[in-house]
Order: sequence, then structure tokens, then C-alpha cells
Amino acid sequence: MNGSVLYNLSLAGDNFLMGIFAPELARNSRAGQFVMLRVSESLDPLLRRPFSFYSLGAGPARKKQPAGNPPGTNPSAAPGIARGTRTRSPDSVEFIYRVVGQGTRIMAHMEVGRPVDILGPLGKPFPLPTEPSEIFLIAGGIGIAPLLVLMEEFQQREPNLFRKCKTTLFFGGRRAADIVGAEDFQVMEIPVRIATEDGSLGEKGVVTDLLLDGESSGKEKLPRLIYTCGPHAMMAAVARLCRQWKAPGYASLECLMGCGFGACLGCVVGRRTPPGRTARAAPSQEPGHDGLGHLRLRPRV
Amino acid sequence: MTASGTFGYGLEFEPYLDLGQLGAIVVKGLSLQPRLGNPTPRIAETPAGMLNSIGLQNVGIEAFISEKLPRLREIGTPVIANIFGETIEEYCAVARRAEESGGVAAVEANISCPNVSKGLDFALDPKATLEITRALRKATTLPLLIKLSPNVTDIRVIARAAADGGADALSVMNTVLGMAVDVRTRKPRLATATGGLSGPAVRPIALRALWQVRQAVKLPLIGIGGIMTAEDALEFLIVGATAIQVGTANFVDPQSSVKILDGLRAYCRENDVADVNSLVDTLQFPG
Ligand SMILES: Cc1cc2nc3c(=O)[nH]c(=O)nc-3n(C[C@H](O)[C@H](O)[C@H](O)COP(=O)(O)OP(=O)(O)OC[C@H]3O[C@@H](n4cnc5c(N)ncnc54)[C@H](O)[C@@H]3O)c2cc1C
Ligand SMILES: Cc1cc2nc3c(=O)[nH]c(=O)nc-3n(C[C@H](O)[C@H](O)[C@H](O)COP(=O)(O)O)c2cc1C
Ligand code: FES
Repeated sequence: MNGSVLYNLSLAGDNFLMGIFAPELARNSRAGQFVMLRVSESLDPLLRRPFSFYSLGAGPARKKQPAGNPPGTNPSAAPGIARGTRTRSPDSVEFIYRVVGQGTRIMAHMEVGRPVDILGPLGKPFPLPTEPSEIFLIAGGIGIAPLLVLMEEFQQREPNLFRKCKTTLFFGGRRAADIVGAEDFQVMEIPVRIATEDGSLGEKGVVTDLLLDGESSGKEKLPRLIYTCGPHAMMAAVARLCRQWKAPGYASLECLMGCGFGACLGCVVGRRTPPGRTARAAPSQEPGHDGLGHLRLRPRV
Repeated sequence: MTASGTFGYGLEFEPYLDLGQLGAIVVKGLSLQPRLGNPTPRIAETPAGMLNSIGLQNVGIEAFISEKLPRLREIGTPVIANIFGETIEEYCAVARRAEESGGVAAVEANISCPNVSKGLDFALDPKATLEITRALRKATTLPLLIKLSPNVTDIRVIARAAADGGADALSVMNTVLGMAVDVRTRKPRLATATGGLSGPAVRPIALRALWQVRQAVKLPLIGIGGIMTAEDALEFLIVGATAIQVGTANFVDPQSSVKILDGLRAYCRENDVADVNSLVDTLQFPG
């Protein structure tokens, strides 16, 4: 499938926000799914790169529409490149990405109008909440990506249930520049609590520290539900908390992927995965594998 | 055809292409018992290629026959069982089960996987190649393909041994043993340190191997290694392959195999070639 770059904005740190015109993807994809992008037509880099959707389509109606580019946007990051402005539409999808290597560096230089070869949607969608809950969104850095689209989809499909849930985003990073996209949650009126390891934004420490004082504060106690995406160590800590709270949770996991659709068996993690099944087919209870689906963090009974 | 280990059990690709168009589907290497494969990371990208050390993770021949084969038979495309064992007996047992299943068109013996202990042994020593080929020849009446490794001093010697042992065709080639290091952590980028290199980076090696084997034996040859486009496939045909397998390209574009077929048809049309087979073994020497 081919899309084309609508905008490619430099955010804080090494992070970027890319909007792509891809009507079919915008309509047929679900929160938590991902795509494999071909970043180059040449043979190097050869393999596609996986990216979670950050948003699909225009998004739910909002009280406050974010005007223009998000705060922190640095228009001078790539001089001479027309980067566009953030204009979501029913035909657009967004990715938020961090430059870590060759492939993402090429992406950061993509100009408006450039065609992009996309394979997707792939992977399993996030299951949406089914009852009024206290929802903890726990993100580490660029792990924020699948959580925005999740909340937008939830609000769009189940506006009443969305209103009955008490949702908080706990967002961690090494430094302030790792915290990108928080304002998109704020416009949905989801409170955001931030922790950075160097203390440059929010509280000093790791994001799970914010959760330790996490007694339900609402009048009636809602069942807790956790969605998380971020570094493996963080998700392992979250999984421990889930067990402690006896709360169910879903984690969106990352790993090296060769194909994204179950053909290479490169993405399985650990030897726990039964033979012949990619992690997609067999999510285990241990965080730290998969890339395709969502691990259910089951409470220990 | 699609190369073993890069096309799953075929069914993973149904959403992307009409499997009925393929000449054959070579499925992921099958062993007698299910195998878990190697620890991760199992893949690492390298310039114009990738290293893998999947370690022959597979469902085992029985689960393949009961769970995957029925659907593959419905599609009707010939299924080639790529087989693997730790001992000659295991290889033969898998080959026998493949034949008994009634749904397998041929057996391709992977005697050249660099990612499991013993994996390469049978492809390194002509005596071992001869022995395993003879044993498999007795074990099955199905067409027998022997898959050779480039990780040898002289592939011609191994090719002759396979031919003497009674192989019906040779698949040239499996991956090239390689390695990559993360300089920040100083760790190898594969958990097993070394792995098999595939993709366009190995194409010249594959072509050379095919060329050498072509001169050594008269058997039909299947060209494998870094084929991404119809033009790449033509190189192999011209050097002497009667068929080709598409491997790593399937990861980059799941439709690669059928696109290559379309490209070959277009080439034949544009160049007034009535039958693509007439291109086989037509390498011209300068002067
Ligand atoms: C399902 C899935 C969804 C993803 N979603 C996003 C997203 O929304 N935004 C985003 O920025 N990134 C996301 N990633 C990670 C992203 O795919 C990688 O950062 C990217 O492929 C790196 O490509 P590169 O060529 O720039 O780096 P490379 O040169 O390939 O690698 C550079 C460094 O990054 C490490 N690395 C590469 N891939 C990964 C990975 N998957 N996980 C952890 N480390 C990796 C390498 O080991 C290496 O040290 C996702 C990964 C998966 C599996
Ligand atoms: C991820 C991966 C798994 C593979 N698994 C097998 C296997 O199970 N059996 C086998 O005979 N070859 C296996 N191979 C080798 C391929 O079939 C092929 O010989 C090799 O990759 C070269 O072709 P290519 O460059 O087109 O990929 C595998 C290759 C890759 C990349
Ligand atoms: S990325 Fe290829 S099987 Fe998961």
C-alpha cells in the first residue's frame, strides 16, 4: 500500500511526528496495530521498520482542537525541508517516532509529498475497556504511541463508558525531551503525570515510582485496568504492579522484527513461546517478547 | 518457488497473494519433533542483507501434516517439505512421514543450516553428503532435493557426492555464515554470535556457487540467494538454474514471488522469448 507524507514535524529531542495520507489504513486499522514501513527504495536498509499508529483519522471531536503544530515543535530542525503543518483528516494516520538508527534517520528527512510504502495494518488490536474502570496508561518515551490511538478509539466508540472511566497517563522518560505527545492527552482531558530520571520534567525518578502511591482516590473504587508500552524493564515493573494489584493489563511489546506478519520467526521472545508459533499467536505472561500483539498481564490469583 | 524459512507454512502469505500462482511452496524446515529454535535476538540487519539464527523453530512434521497441509492441499500448489534432523535416521523418518502424508510433492533436505549444532555437518564433508543422500534416496520415492551450503571449500565436490547419492535436484544455496557486533555493547548482534547471511548481499556468492555446481553435475539446479527481482532471477536461469527460490525478499514485500513471476513474463514478452526455459544455461562468454 502506498501513502504519502503530509507532514513530518521535529518534536523535542530526537522525536518526530509524521502524518501520512493513507485513507484505507485510516479506516481499516485499530488501536494497538502497527505497520511495516519501507523507508528506502534501495537495498540498504533492506527490511521494513515497524511503527505503531499514534492516531488514525481525524480523531474524536474535541472541546479544544490543538491549533497548528504541537508545542515543542522545532521548525528549524531540518532547514530547507518543507515539513508541513499538523492537519489530521479522516484519511490520515500519524506515527510518532524516535531517531535511533539508519532507518529512522531516513524517515526524519522525508519531505512532504514523498510516497511511503506501507504494509499493514498488522498485529492484534488492543482490547477496549468493557466496564467503568480506573485506567492507568503507563508509557515510557516513544511507547506513548499506541496509547493515544487507544484512548481516541475508546472515546469515539464508547463515549459513555469513556466518560465513566477515570483515566490517567503516567509518562516516564530519561529526560524532558523524551516526553512527547502529552498535550494530545491533555486535550482529551486525560490528566498526565510525568517522571524523568534526571528530574528535568515532572517528578524525578522512574514512572513506576508515580504508581507506588497509587491508591484509588475516587469516591467509589473502580476496578483498575492497565495499558502500557515502553522499555522492557519498565513493562516488567508494570507487570509486577499488575500482579500486586490483581489488576488486568495489556502491554504493547517491541522487539526486533524481520517481517511483521509471522513468516520469519525473528520476533519470538524467549523459549517459552511454543514451537512454530510467533509471539502473536501465543502471548505468554512474561513481558519481553512479542511485537505483534498485546500481552495480557494477568493478576496472580 | 519460495525459499524455506522465509515463507512460513505458506498460509501466512494468503492475505497478500494467490498462492496458486507459485510453482511450489517450500515450507519452513520440518523436524521429527517440534523445535523451539534459538534464543533472541535471532535476526540482525546488515548492509543489503540480514543475519538469522532462527534455529529451525518448527511445529514438527506431524503437526504440519495435520494442521497446515490440508489447507495447502486445497490450494493445489505443489508443496515441498524442507526437512531437517540431527541424525540420518531422523532425516529419513521425516522424509517417510512427508511421503506418507500424500500431500507433499518433493523433499528438500536441508543439510546446510548454519544455525544448529550438526546442522552443517552433512554439507561439509562429501562422505557425509553421500551417506545421507543415499539413505534418503532409500527412504523416499519422492523427488529428492539436496540443499547445499556455500560454507565449504569446494562446493563441486559436495554437489558430486549428492548426485552420486541419488539426488534428483540440488538447491543452491543456503545462507552464508556471518556475524555482526554491536560496538556499543560489544555483544554479537545475534544471541548465537554467528548466523546465516541472506538477501541481495549474498547474490554474487549464490551465483558463483550455482555456476560451479553447474559445471560439476548434470542434475537440475534450483537457484537461491538474494533474488529480489525478475532480473535477479534471470541471472540464475542464465547460469543454469531451472527454477529459483525467493527468500528474504518475501519479508520486504510479501508479494515478491508473484511480482518476480510477472516480471519474468514481461521479460519474455518484450524479448520474444516463447519459453522461459530456453534461457536456462545460456551464459555467453565474451570473445
Ligand atoms: C510493533 C512495534 C511498534 C513500534 N512502534 C514504534 C513507534 O511508534 N515509534 C518508534 O519510534 N519506534 C517504534 N518501534 C521501534 C522501531 O521500529 C525501531 O526504533 C526502528 O525500527 C529502528 O530502525 P532504525 O533503522 O532507525 O534503527 P536500527 O539501525 O535498526 O537500530 C538502531 C538501534 O535501535 C535498536 N532497535 C531497533 N529496532 C528496535 C526495536 N524494535 N526495539 C528496540 N530497539 C530497537 C537496535 O538494536 C539498535 O541498537 C516499534 C517497534 C515494534 C516492533
Ligand atoms: C529467517 C530465515 C529462515 C530460514 N530457514 C530455513 C530453513 O528452515 N531451511 C532451509 O533450508 N533454509 C532456510 N533458510 C535459508 C533460505 O531458504 C535461503 O536458502 C537463503 O535465505 C538464501 O536466499 P535469500 O537470500 O533469497 O533469502 C532461512 C533463511 C532465512 C532468512
Ligand atoms: S517479525 Fe517476522 S515473524 Fe514476527
